[in-house]
This record gives sequence, C-alpha cells and structure tokens, in this order.
Amino acid sequence: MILLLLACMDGPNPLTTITDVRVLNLRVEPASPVAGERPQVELLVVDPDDPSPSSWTWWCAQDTCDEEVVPEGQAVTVFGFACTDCEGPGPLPAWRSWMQELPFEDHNLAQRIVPLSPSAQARINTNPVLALSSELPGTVAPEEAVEIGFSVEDAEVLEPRAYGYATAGGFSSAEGQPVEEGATTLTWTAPEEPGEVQLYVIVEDGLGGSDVWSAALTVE
Amino acid sequence: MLFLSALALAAQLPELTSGPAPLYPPDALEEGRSGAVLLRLQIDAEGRVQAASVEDTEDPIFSTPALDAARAFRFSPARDDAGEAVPAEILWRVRFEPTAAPVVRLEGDIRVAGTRQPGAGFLLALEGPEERFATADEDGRFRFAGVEPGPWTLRLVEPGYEALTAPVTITADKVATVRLQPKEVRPWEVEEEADEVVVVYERPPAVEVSERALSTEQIAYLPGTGGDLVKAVQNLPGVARPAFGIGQLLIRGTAPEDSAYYLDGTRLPAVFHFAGLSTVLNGDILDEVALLSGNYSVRYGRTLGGIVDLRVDSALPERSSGYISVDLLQATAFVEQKIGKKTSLSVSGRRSYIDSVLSPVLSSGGGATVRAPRYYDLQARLLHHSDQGVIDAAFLLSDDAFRVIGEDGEDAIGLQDRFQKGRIRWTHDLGAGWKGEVGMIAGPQSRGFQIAPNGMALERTTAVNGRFELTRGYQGSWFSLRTGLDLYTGSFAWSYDVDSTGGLGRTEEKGSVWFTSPSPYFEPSVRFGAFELTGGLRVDPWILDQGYTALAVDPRFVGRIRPTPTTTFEAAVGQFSQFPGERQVIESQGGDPDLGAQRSLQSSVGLEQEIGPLAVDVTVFGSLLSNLVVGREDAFRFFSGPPPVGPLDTGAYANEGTGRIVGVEALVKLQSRRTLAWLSATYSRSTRTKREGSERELFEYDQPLVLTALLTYQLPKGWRLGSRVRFGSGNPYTPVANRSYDLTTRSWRPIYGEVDSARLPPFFAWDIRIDKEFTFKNWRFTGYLDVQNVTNQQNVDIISWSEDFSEEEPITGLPILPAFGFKGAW
Repeated sequence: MILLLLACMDGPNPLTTITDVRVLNLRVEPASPVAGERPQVELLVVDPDDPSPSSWTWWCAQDTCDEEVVPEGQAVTVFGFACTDCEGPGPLPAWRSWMQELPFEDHNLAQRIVPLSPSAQARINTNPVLALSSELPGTVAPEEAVEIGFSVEDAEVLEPRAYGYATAGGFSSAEGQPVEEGATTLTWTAPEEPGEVQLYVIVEDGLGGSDVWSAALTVE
Repeated sequence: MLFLSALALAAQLPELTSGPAPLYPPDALEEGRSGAVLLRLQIDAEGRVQAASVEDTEDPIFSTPALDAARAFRFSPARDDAGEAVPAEILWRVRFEPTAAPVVRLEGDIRVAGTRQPGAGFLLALEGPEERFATADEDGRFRFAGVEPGPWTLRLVEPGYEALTAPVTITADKVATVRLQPKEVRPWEVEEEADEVVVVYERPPAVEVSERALSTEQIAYLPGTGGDLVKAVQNLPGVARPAFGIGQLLIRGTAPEDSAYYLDGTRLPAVFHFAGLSTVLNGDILDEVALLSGNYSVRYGRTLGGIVDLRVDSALPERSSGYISVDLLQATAFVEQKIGKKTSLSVSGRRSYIDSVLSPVLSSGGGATVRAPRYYDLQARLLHHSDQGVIDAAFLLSDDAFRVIGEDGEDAIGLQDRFQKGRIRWTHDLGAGWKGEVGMIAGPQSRGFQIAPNGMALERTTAVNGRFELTRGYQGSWFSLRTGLDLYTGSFAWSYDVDSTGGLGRTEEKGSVWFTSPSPYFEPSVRFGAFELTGGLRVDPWILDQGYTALAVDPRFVGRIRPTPTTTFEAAVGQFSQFPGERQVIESQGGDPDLGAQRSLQSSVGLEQEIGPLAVDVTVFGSLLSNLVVGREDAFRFFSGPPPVGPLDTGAYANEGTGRIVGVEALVKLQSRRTLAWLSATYSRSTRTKREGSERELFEYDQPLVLTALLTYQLPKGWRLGSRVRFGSGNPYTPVANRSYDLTTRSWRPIYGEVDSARLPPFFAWDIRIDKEFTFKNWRFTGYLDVQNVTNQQNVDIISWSEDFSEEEPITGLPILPAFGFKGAW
C-alpha cells in the first residue's frame, strides 16, 4: 500500500502540446440540457497533420446511447471521437468493445459528463463566456514567453479553471489554473523552431459548461 | 545401611565391599531430619552398579544423595549354584541419621557458559582413590562429603555439554570450592560417525487437517525472514506471495482479508507492521506458529480463508534472561525475570528506525519528502503457575505510522495503524482428562488514512474476543471432545471523506455500529484402532444493533486412518462462513440488510508419510464458494493490497458471487544434526464469478504455481549458512486496451480490456544468510548477514500506467537488499 502510494506520486505528465489528433473540447449548448432534447454539440478537434479529421459525437446514459437525443438519467455523458482515416463507432451501445479493438494511435475519444436540467425553464447550468483581455502579438521569437490575459463570465457561482493547449511550444500550467475574478493569465512559451502555431484556451466551469478561445501566432 | 534382599535367583547374594557414605543434604542436616531410601540396584557380574532407582523413600530430600552414593558402591558378585558370577538385582536401603553425617569436603556450582543457566541435574564424578558421584540440585549446586584428603579429579559428564575435568585437592581442614562453566554443545558439533538424520516433523496429537506448525528453533535462521515467525509461514505450501512482500498471507486462493490471525485462539487485529517488515509480537514469547490452510476445527470460524495461530509458550522460564538486538531496520530489547518459582514477568519492546535509513533514499526522486514506515510495539506479560492452573496475562501495543510531506511542508499522505490490547488466559487441568480454558483479548484498534488536500478516512474498532473451552483427550478410551464458546463483540465506527475508488465521485460517510457474535461449537472425536473420525458443528450468529441479524451453521468432518506409525491418510469436508462487512448491510449507508453469510464448502484429501529421513505431506484441496458479496466496488475501503483496477461493479450489494478453488500442495522436509531443508510446492487455480450469469474470471490473487526451496546448514564453530529460492506465477491483472479523455477533469481515463486477461511475469528470488555465534562466560553474541534477492531480479509486483495510459509502467519489488544485525543475549 505504501509503495503503491509512492508509485502514484510520480510526476504528472499533462499534454499541453498537441502532436496527434485530439478532441480538445465538447461544448454543449445549452450546457445543461433536458432529457429528450437535441442540444448543439460543438466538437473542437485538432490534428497538426490533418486539417479535416473525421469525427463523431453521441450521448450515453449507462448502456443507452443515441447520436443526437439526450437519454434519460440524472447525468449523461457526451462522447466525441476523432480519427484519421478510420471508421466510426458503429452500433453505439458497443462503443466500448469497439474501442478495445482500436490501436492507441491516430484517434482520440473524449467524454464530458453533463448534468440534466429538470425542464427547459429551469436550466441548472449555463456555459461560461471567455473574453481575451490582452492583445497578442502576431509574431513572437523562439522560446519567447507570451502572457495571455482573459476574463471569464459565469452566471453560476462556480470555480472555473482554465487550460491552455498549443500545436507547438507549451503552457506553463498543465493542470489547469483557477480563474480569478477580473483578469486571468496563462503563459505560453514558444518553441525553438519557427512556424505557425495555433493556441487554445479552454475554460471549464466544473459542471459540464465550457468555452474556447483560439488564435494563431507565427514564430520567427 | 541395611541390606534387605536379593531378587535374583542366586545361590550367593552380592555383598557390599566398598562404598561412600552419602552426602547429607545441608537443609536436612540443619533441621535434624532423618529418613531412609529404598533403592533398586542392578549389579553386574563384576559387582558394579549398572543402574539404580528409587523404590521408596521416607523423605524425597534424601533420594538424590542416596542414588549418587549407590553409583559408587562395589559389591562382591552374586553367584549361581555352580559358583559362577551372575548379574543380580537387589533392594538396598540407605538410612540417613544426622549424627552419622559425613563432612562436606568439596562443593561448587555449575553455570552454563553464555546463558549462566544453572546446571540442574548435571552429573559429576569425582575420581581418585575411589569413584564418587554427585548430582547438582536445581540451583546447579553440588557437594561431595566424606572424601578422603588427597588429589582428586572432578569430571563433568553431562550429555549435550562439553566435558570438563578439574584437578582438586581435598584437605582435612578446608572445604574446596569449584565453579564449572561448561559450554553447550550443539548437536551438529558432536562428532558422530555419520551425519545421522533425525526427522523432526512432529505430529502432535489431535492435529488439524493441513496444520503445519513451525517452532521458533526451526525458523530463527531462515534466510529472507529475519527470524520472524509469521514471515516464515510464507514459505509453506498453500501460501502465495503477496505484492511487495507486504506480509499479508494469501492462503489457498483466497484474499488476505479472508484469513484471520489468532493468539492462542483469541483473535488479533493485525499481525504485521507496515510493509510486512516485522510481526507485531516478539517471537520470543511464542512457542510456535501454526498455519491452518483449510478444513480446520470448528474452534475457528467467521473466515473463508486460512488461519494463523500464534501459540504462546506457557512454560515458566528456567532462569531470568534477556537480550538486545540491533539490525538495519529496528532495535529490540527483551527481558524475562523469574519471580519466585511459579511466576515470571517479561517485557519486550521494539522500535524501527527504517524511516531514518530509507527516507532520504525515497525522497531523492521528487519534491515530496517521504517519511518511511515508523513502527513500535510493546508486550508486557505475566505468567503464573499454580495448583489452580496457569494464568497468562499480557498487554500488547502496536503503532505504525507513515507520512509523505509535500513540497509545501504539509502532510501529503499519512497512514496510521495502531492497537492496544489486554489479554488474559487461564488454563486448568480439571482432572479425569478434562482441561478448561478461558481466554479473552480486548481493547481498541484504529487506522487512519489522510491524503491532501482534503481526504481523510478513520476506522476504530473496540472489540472483545473471548473463548471458553472444555476439552477431553482420549485418555486411553475411544472418545474425545472439544466444546466451547467463541465470543466476538464490540463496536465499529468509521468516518470517510475521500475520493471514491476508481475516481467515481466522492465518499462521505460516517457511522457506528455495535456487533455481537456468540458462537458455540461442539466437536467430538471417536477412535477405533487406526481409524479416527471427528465431527464438528459451529453456530455463528452475527447481530448488529441496527436491526441486522444473520446466522451461519457450519458442520465439519475429518477422517483419519493411520495404518502404520509413519503413514496417515486424511480426508475432510466442511462448511466455512464469513459475514458481510458492517457497512455492506446497513441500509442508511447504501448497504443491503438482506445480505447473508458468504460460504465456502471446503474439502481435502491428504497423505502424510515418513520415508526414512524424509517427511512428505501431500494434500489435494478444493473449495466451492457461494453467496459472495459483490457490488459497490466504488465504495471506499482500506485495502490490504493494491486497490482494484479495471471496470468496477458499481451495482448494489448482492450475495451473487461464486468461486471455485482447486489445487494440490506438497511439503517435503528433513532435518539432520547439521541441516534443515524443505521443499514446498503449490499448484492451484482460483476463479470467481461476480454476478449471476456472468463469465468465470481468474481471481485477482490467483497464482497457479508457487515453489519454495529452503536450506540451512550448520558449520563448526558457530557458523551457519542458509539459502532460499522462490518461484511464483505472477498475479493476473486487467490490461488497459485504450483510453478516453475526460474533458471536465482534463485527465485520461482507461478503457480496460478483458478482466484479468493478462498476467504479471513470474517471480524469482534467491536469498542467502550467514550467521556466526560467539559464546562467552556470561553471554552470547550473534551476528548475521541476510541478503535478499541476490541476483537483483526486477520482479514486477503490480502494473501501473503512464498518465495517458499509453504505456505500462511496471512497479518492481525489492532490489538486492543486504541487511545485517547483531544480538547479545544473557
């Protein structure tokens, strides 16, 4: 037990640099749907090697799954799947066994647990709104640190966290940073090699709500 | 002295020609006591006394001096009708009158070198113009009286001790004094014509089926165990290897929590300190450790797995003694003091300092500071023998702690495990073959778990375990009986505020419950010639104050045939029951009050055979498990091993699990004067089904093949070598087939493959040990070097994964680990 705990203390290895196809976010609108609704699901997929990867989304509650309609349940899970040159999950209830057969590379499955509202008039959560509060340079030097300032508005009294991702370079905080009242800053460090870089900042409100900001920079 | 009669049919009876006057016991002389002793003497054809025994005595104080004197008597031989000298047996009366007491000319005492133990009963010969004998009393004192002045030679001829010879000069006006300090001669130091093999595979009467007992002498020097009694049990067949060598016992395909530990029949809450580094009791108060793998007596219950019974030595010590022991991990002190002739008091304490040794090493890899396990234990024991029986009272304390301090200086992880127990046991010979026993162990035990920033779990059990037992041996008849009551009662309180297992939310629970289980048992045995049959019945009620009641009735049968003194066939079948945990049956805690006892129908067939120097024990066993409690694998619990991985069954609790365990285990063992060796092998398979209709899966602790070969060899001059080789199949585990990214927590989640469809690599380890003992006049010194995993094998204990679950990251067990220690005993 003791040694197991020690083993669990190995340093985390968060991926802030996107090197393979990744589902970076699933934004559901409304953030807290009602069972039977067909909410809008915005899937953010990033693949440095493929500008248009294939993607699918679906909803599940236990073994009941549907591509568009939110099933019954206290909380449901929305899945997003993206891949390069591959087939979709097929019959949805069998998605887990289908995933067991896939190799680890060239695809990405992501999930988000979403609480359901009792009715359309009584939504229990809304998505936060992220706004950039600082101006970014269009060009940066290799290994230059860039501060990205932003503010977040959230109707509910929650404790949102912000996460940064990039197609090159890396963010200083890999485990998310608490969003502070007013302005919050994430620091991104440019890579050694010059080139185009896409940056992403994602805010999670902890209750299934999210928002995304994205911009492109050039490293010279 | 009065010659009475000759029993031999001889024409001429022996006549005394010479012989010393017996020593007059000083106490008898001082008190003016007189008396007579009637001796039976066997006299050879040359008139020498070959054997002497006491036929009758008026006062026992005179018996030994009379025998000592008689050994030096010389007779004229008995003769038959033809005048030939023949052996004879006669009765001879020796009379003691204070007025005729001879004067003591030589006195002294005997103390064994190293231990200073009195040489009670040691025989001495005084050789000179004639030969005289004396026997040392219980304090090791001896005297020779009526010895003629002049040069003599004193010779100590006690078997098992080095022969000593001392010249002494007897004068008419002084009493010569001598102190003899013979060294104990170990069996392997006796020069024999051959290394005679002596089988020491004891078979005590009324032995349990599949009971294997290890005495302290047998295991004190086993490599890899550090002389720890209970760790040595891990070398026996039927016991699989736990991860990290954490000391937990996996007995016959069951989980650690399915087995129980007892101290002379009353239950102990724990038997190992953290990480299995040491047993919580000092082995010096124990006589032996018995492993009962299965099909054991109805004396034990409420368990599906095996039993380990630590059996205390209830004999009074022959002398006061003690020792101090220091090794790489801990320091131990033990003192045992005789108080009068019927009472002894012993105190033992142990404190680890592995935290000081290992913490810098463990902390070097990261920012956190690891406080390696720190433990201490204490035992104080009072043992009293009287006509009313034996009273054994003890206080036991054990305290373990483990901390990891984060970079911010606050505790990141903390574990604590402790108990304080009072124990009293009374045993009494009631006469007519009946023996009575009343035992009780009571006190609190607690364990806590803290993980930053806000995880905390506490459990506290305050329990009384009592045993009231009557036994009657066969006493030459065909019937024997054991009956009694095994009482377990107390309270269990818990408070959890932690993440649930498998990252499935959070557990916030708090509660307490009283429990009671008064379990009567009845076990008669009948014996007809070579056949013996034992039938037992045990009734276990399990009553909680929150309205839960369950009952288990366990019948058990054992049959034995002993066609020859060296062969025993055994067959047994019986039911064993284990109740669900308290939280599993309390409705307000998400439990199911309709849950019943989990059951195991155990059967076994065995053969014990002595073949010359070898003792061979082979047992085929099988268990059918039913009513196993399944579900709520996400609920928090303290784990005795790695927490479960793989898809968790988070459904409601239910008695739907089943299991099947089959196997064969063998033990081949021999011990000679120089050598102790055994080979133990177990081949088994343990499977489970979780829910009705679900597929049969390998049990998480299934280890099909476990082999242990062990050898210790004693060399001259106090050297001893030992070696142990172990091989075991790896545990099954559930592989990760793929992964999913949880966007809310921004962390990876595994998608597991088939349950337990992969297996860890086999385990292999070779351990060696070297001991050297030095004996001085008043104390003994022992040093040892114990090297575990000599080949530095990287044995995989569990599988971990990288953070994104893309790669397996095996966690390996102990690397090569040399340890040394010293012990000074007096």
